[in-house]
Amino acid sequence: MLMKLKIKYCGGCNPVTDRKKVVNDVLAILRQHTSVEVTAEQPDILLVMGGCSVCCVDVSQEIAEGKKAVKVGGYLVDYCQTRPAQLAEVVAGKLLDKGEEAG
Amino acid sequence: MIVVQGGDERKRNNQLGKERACMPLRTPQEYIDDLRKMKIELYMFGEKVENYADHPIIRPSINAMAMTYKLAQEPEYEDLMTATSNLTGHKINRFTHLHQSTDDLVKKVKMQRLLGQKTGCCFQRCVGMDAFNAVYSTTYEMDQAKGTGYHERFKKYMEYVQDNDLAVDGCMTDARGDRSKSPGAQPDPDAYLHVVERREDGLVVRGCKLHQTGMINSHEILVMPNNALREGEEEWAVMFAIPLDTPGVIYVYGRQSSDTRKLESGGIDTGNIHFGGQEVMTIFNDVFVPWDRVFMDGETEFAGMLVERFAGYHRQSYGGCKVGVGDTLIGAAQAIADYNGVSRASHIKDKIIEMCHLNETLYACGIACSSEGRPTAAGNYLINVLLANICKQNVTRFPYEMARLAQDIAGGFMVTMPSDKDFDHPEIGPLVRKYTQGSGEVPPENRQRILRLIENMTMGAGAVGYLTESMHGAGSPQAQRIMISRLVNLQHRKELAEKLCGVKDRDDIDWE
Repeated sequence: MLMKLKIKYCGGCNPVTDRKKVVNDVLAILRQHTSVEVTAEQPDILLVMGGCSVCCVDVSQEIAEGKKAVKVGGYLVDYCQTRPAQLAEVVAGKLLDKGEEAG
Repeated sequence: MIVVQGGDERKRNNQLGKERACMPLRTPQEYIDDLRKMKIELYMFGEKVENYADHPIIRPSINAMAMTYKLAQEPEYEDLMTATSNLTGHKINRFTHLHQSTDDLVKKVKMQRLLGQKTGCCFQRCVGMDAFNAVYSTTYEMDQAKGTGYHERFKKYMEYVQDNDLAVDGCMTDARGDRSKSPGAQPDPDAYLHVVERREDGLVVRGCKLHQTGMINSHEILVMPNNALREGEEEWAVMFAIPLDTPGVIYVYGRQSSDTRKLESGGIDTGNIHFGGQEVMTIFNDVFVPWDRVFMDGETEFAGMLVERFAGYHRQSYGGCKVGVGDTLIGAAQAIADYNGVSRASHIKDKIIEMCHLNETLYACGIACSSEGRPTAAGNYLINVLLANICKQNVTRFPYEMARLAQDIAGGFMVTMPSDKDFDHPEIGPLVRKYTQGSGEVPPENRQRILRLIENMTMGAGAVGYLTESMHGAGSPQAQRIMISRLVNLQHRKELAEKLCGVKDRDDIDWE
């Protein structure tokens, strides 16, 4: 099973998390469950990585195209608060669930 | 303890529901007539008050709330004052709206500025709007986590509020007893409102909510917990709505400085001759709440989320309402400078510019926390909590400095001026007016009125809303500082500095 994952970052002007570390942690967890290819071309799913709750990344085009996405804004995952220690785990879990839905 | 109708039953039977089923925008006259029909247990100056809607001390605060109905009727204010309900698709008053975008959050602030300008005081309807939005998103997340059914229940309640254009008092601050102790550790459990009985048909609650702005000018009360709660404090984790005239609720009207001036004829000495604010001690003396009006019952882990969101919205609000009131104070300062013949003096100009700078800074914070808002899981929009706290922290300071500058510009006559009755006295009146004459042809009465307005806003009844409410409303200054310390990433900032001076290596300079 291969997950083709596109990662889109915010600009990182005022982050409350270390976005690159979060992404690396998420990838490490994902790779325990599936093969992952980080790609901008024809992804199965999108990881929107915002450093604060605003999560100002523009993903309107991808959403309009019907892409599944997991949106991270600081410690919010899909708009719900997550404990800092569990952030990567929650994000990876959501990606796996939504990736499965995306087929 | 007395049983009252539940929300749905009340809607069927209640006059408001019957008459107003599909007419979301009430007129100010309809609103005031609603209050005249209210039969509540209200005390002021140690006496029971009947027909409070026409009481001269209370009426100015009702007028201020009525302006929220008035402006929604006017085409020139419609864009700010109304919105389209996400629940029904109906055109509704923005004060009952669940924000659907950052644009909605921005318009909320602009609407509040407008209302502050029109009334020169607190117009009291914001607290309900802020409570709606906090309860809406919190009940959704509570249901997701706990499998409860509060959100659907609250949506039905919101449809009732929106379709009847109701004013609702968001009710949070408890009596709190010993501030060092949490609700469950208080010697008197009633220090925080709590459930004292669970019945088949609902809950019975007891306690007291203090500082309730606009309470008796509202149709309904939406009660929320005061603070974050821990396991074992389930009886204090309660959220519900009841009509204002629910039996068992006792209202005690708060005093304001110079409040009895409103009993005098003439009105000039009140300063703000039509409008004012209102705070009420509200005692829940074993009040029954039917289940269809209960939106939290024992979910302690969500009390903190609710409080944080409500406080965040309300701290945003102050970046609009106090700015509007500030606009009127700046206008009063400019007017008295003109009347005194000093408006061309450079230091006066500079003080008025400083007032504008302070006021627009507050507005900038209100707009910023709105523009940086985000959707919640429920779909309504939440402000940027950090920026809303920054906004309110500034509001705890800047209006005080603006008041100082206005008093500086006004001069001491603001507090030594004779009463209005002396101006009208057949013998001494002409002399009082002669020696009150200011610049050019400006009538002494204009000077008298503007000085009284500045007095009202900076040290009279209006200062309750413009100054002390700025200090303590939506949380005292320390509450914002705690939030700021929680929300700012200091480690990130430290690393920025350490990388700049070489304490830490950086790998992002990869050019020669």
